[in-house]
Amino acid sequence: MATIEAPPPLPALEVERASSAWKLLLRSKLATLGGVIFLCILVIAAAAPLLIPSSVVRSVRFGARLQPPDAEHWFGTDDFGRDLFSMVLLAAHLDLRTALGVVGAAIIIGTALGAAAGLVRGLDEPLMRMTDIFLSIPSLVLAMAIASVLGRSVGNLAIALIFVSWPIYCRLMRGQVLSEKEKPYVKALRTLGVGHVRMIVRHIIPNTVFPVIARAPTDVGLILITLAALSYIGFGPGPYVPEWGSLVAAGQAYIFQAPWLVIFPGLAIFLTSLSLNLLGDWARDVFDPRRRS
Amino acid sequence: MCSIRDGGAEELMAAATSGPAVLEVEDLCVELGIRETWVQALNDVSLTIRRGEVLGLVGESGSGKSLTALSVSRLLPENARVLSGSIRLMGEDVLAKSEPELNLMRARTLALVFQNPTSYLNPVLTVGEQIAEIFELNPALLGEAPGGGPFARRRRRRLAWRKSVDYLGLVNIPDPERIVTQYPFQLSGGMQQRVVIAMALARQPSLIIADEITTALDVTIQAQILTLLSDLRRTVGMTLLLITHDLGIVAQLADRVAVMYSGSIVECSDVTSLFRDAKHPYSRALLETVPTIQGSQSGFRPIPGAVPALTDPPSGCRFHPRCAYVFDPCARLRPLPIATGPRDTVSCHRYGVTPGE
Amino acid sequence: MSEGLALETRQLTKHFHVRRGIFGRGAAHVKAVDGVDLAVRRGQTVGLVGESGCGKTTLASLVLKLLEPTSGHVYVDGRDVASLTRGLLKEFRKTVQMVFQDPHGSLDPRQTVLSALREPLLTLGGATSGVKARDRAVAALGLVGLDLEILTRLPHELSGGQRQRVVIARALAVAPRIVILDEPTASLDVSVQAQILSLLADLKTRQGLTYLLISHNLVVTRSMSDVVAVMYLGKIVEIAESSTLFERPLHPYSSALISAIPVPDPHTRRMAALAKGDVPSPVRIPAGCRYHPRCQYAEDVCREHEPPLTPVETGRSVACHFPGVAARVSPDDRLTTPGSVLSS
Repeated sequence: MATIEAPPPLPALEVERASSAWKLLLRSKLATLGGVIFLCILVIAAAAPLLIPSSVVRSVRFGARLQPPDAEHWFGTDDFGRDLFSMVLLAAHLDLRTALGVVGAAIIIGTALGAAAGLVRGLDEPLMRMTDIFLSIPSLVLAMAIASVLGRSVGNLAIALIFVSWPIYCRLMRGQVLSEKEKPYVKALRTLGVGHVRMIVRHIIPNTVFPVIARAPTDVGLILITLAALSYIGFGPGPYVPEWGSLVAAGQAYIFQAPWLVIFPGLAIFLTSLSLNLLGDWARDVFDPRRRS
Repeated sequence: MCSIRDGGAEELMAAATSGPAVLEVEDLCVELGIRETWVQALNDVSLTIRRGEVLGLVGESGSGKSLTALSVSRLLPENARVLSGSIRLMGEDVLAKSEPELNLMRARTLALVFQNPTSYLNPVLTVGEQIAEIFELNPALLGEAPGGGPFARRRRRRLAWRKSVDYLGLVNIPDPERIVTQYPFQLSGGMQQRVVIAMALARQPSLIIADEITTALDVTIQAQILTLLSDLRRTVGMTLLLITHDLGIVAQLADRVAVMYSGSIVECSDVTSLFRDAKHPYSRALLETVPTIQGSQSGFRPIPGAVPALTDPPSGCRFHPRCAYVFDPCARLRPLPIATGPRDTVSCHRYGVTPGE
Repeated sequence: MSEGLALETRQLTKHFHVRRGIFGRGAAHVKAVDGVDLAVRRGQTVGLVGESGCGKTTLASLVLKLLEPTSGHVYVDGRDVASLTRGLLKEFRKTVQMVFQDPHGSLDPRQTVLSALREPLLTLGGATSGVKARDRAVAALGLVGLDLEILTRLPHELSGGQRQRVVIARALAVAPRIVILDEPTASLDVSVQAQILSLLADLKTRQGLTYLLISHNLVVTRSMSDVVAVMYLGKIVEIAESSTLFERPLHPYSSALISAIPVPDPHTRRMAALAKGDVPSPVRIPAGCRYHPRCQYAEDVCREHEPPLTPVETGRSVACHFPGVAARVSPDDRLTTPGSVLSS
């Protein structure tokens, strides 16, 4: 057997590989733009409740209602006389927190169940029938039904949206796991004594989870829009909970008198979901396993 | 299987070598875009094929042989571009052609057969329909003029169908009347490849390019296809650019051989000379490294090193790091082709002074 | 009887059930491996050749306990592997290793070389600490002639030859005694093939290994094997010493396989297609002798009765009613039979 020498320094190549993902981001101007915009929105959303007192939401001043944007009220005031700028920022916090939470929960539930379906033959059928049921009902209708049963609050809407989103991740993960299981390296590893648990945890999951993660940014955008849509229809929280969708719905009645009531929240939704879509494209490029070969 | 080498075949070969050139490639340079940089994938590739000749293009992965075929047919991928050089097919400049002219070229003059026949056959059309389509698009092949009323069209369709059956018989498909109604998925790999060959022949092209057409097939099926090609050579007289990594196939089918390494043709000569007395060190090493069925079981003679990556080629002669005969100029200068016969060349500093040294 | 036999199979059979028919009845069998007797002596290289559908890959899976046989036995070092449990199973996995074809697919695309080499040491034991495992991984790398700097690379950053060496190193890391080589040079360039074959031959001598070489490439098989077994549709149709088989094949299929190889010599244009028709699928196995539909010499008895694998000389067996009938066709002769038999 050969003599053993001191182990060589490792980090160099690791750093190079990680930085190639960043390089790809920076090289794609659109992705960079998306990233920058989303980062700004995220920072603003995170900072909003710290900078703006929540009393703004209840400070009804009918004397100052429907005022156009000026130096004091950057976005103007709404029909309750509240500063629209503050409302939009507070709504940003709520909306982003909810959307990220929904997608996060849906991913965790969906991938766990999907992996189980792919790995345990007995669980495959029942789980797939369950996802079939969920997927056969239009998502918006299902969310509305759940929300109407549970009550009109953002929290309940979030629960409804999680119900609606997990089946897709479940199916995706299951498909990935099923195909990964058949790959030659899995057979090879079995002959090397790798047991089931180790195989799943150390080999199959890491190789299958990335396409799922690649979808996440785009899905956050979609959930955001769905949330806004539900609020717009009237399933959202009342006028004392700032949410972009309900802001747009409230402003709709005054669209000719005070168009800013619709423009600014609408713009916020648009920018957020656009930047998330751009980031989503980048994520798909980076995390697509095929890029590796 | 009688030997082709004796008798009248020599005369046929002599006639062929003095015939007009079907394909003339001169100093072709092609670049590939790999990971944000352009790399030189083909370096001054030159070759000539006369009518009735079979040229074997031999090389390993990364040698550029498939890229050459794609360049000739102008089917290069998005990330490839022709830098310089000329390609003349039947005297016409291929690089100057417009898209409609290229379509015409691929429909009439040039036929391509690739490695995986399943991918190249339309899965929703029967085999007969696919061959008949060639005749319907090219009524001249039936000896008919285009246009005419529904009567003429129906007659052409019947003729085309008849011809499809004939061509299936030409490629030795058993029971062609039945096969002509089958879909590609109902046929085996070997049969599918025969169908693709039939489609190539149906065009009556001036040149057929076959790229690794037997690599994906089982050994006994490969033998059938090679025997078929050999028979067709004698009966139909094909002009063939045969691309392969298998020296055995080249020895059995080709008249002339061009050996490629890392984007250049390192040697080009007639097949007997190559096998008897290969000049380029790579050709020689290749012939020695390939174990043969008659060869002894003693020792392997591997070529040290590995095929260089296109993104980081060695300086000078690309083969020099692995060459047993390397000397001073090899790492500095890229060797240019030196004539060793009326149509033969070798690109190696050992065979003469490269101009500019 | 089993002394000196590193590996033995007796009447090894694997049938896959393909459900057809309306209520799951009328089930068809795919007889992938159908009663195979194989014996590999310690220190030998036995080559197993056949085309697609012959069952050689299934046989390898059975020997490695990746599949359970429908019937028959596999013996490693005289012990039946069917009855192996936990601890002995680990020993078995250390004894019998496999070098898979497609080195690219055999490696986890997200594992570095070091991680891939360490894994068997951690799972099959023999390395109690990470450091010890690393040392042995490095040693295995040295065996196959690769540099230390390979350790941090991912599979897609390696060349085909390097990947194949890593797969070999991984198999050798646990110090096996029997190695099954499944098409070890199939996806490699010609110039690299000789390197890998040379390495494998060298390792066999140095490490005292026993090889079962599975290939469709007769030339590679001939150059590496002591004994060659020819498989067709799940059965062994001929088994003989390597040189004897290639000089004088007795079964028409062996002849066909050997003659099918294009000879790299323009003066012997002896490429003959002796097998008619297509490579059959194991779903529909012909009655009588399995090879008869493709055989030029088939007679009535061939269509009705399946010939058993019968010893004809010492160390040589054939399953044919007319062994040697194709002996007129040998690799060194120039064929005089006119024409070519292409289709049935």
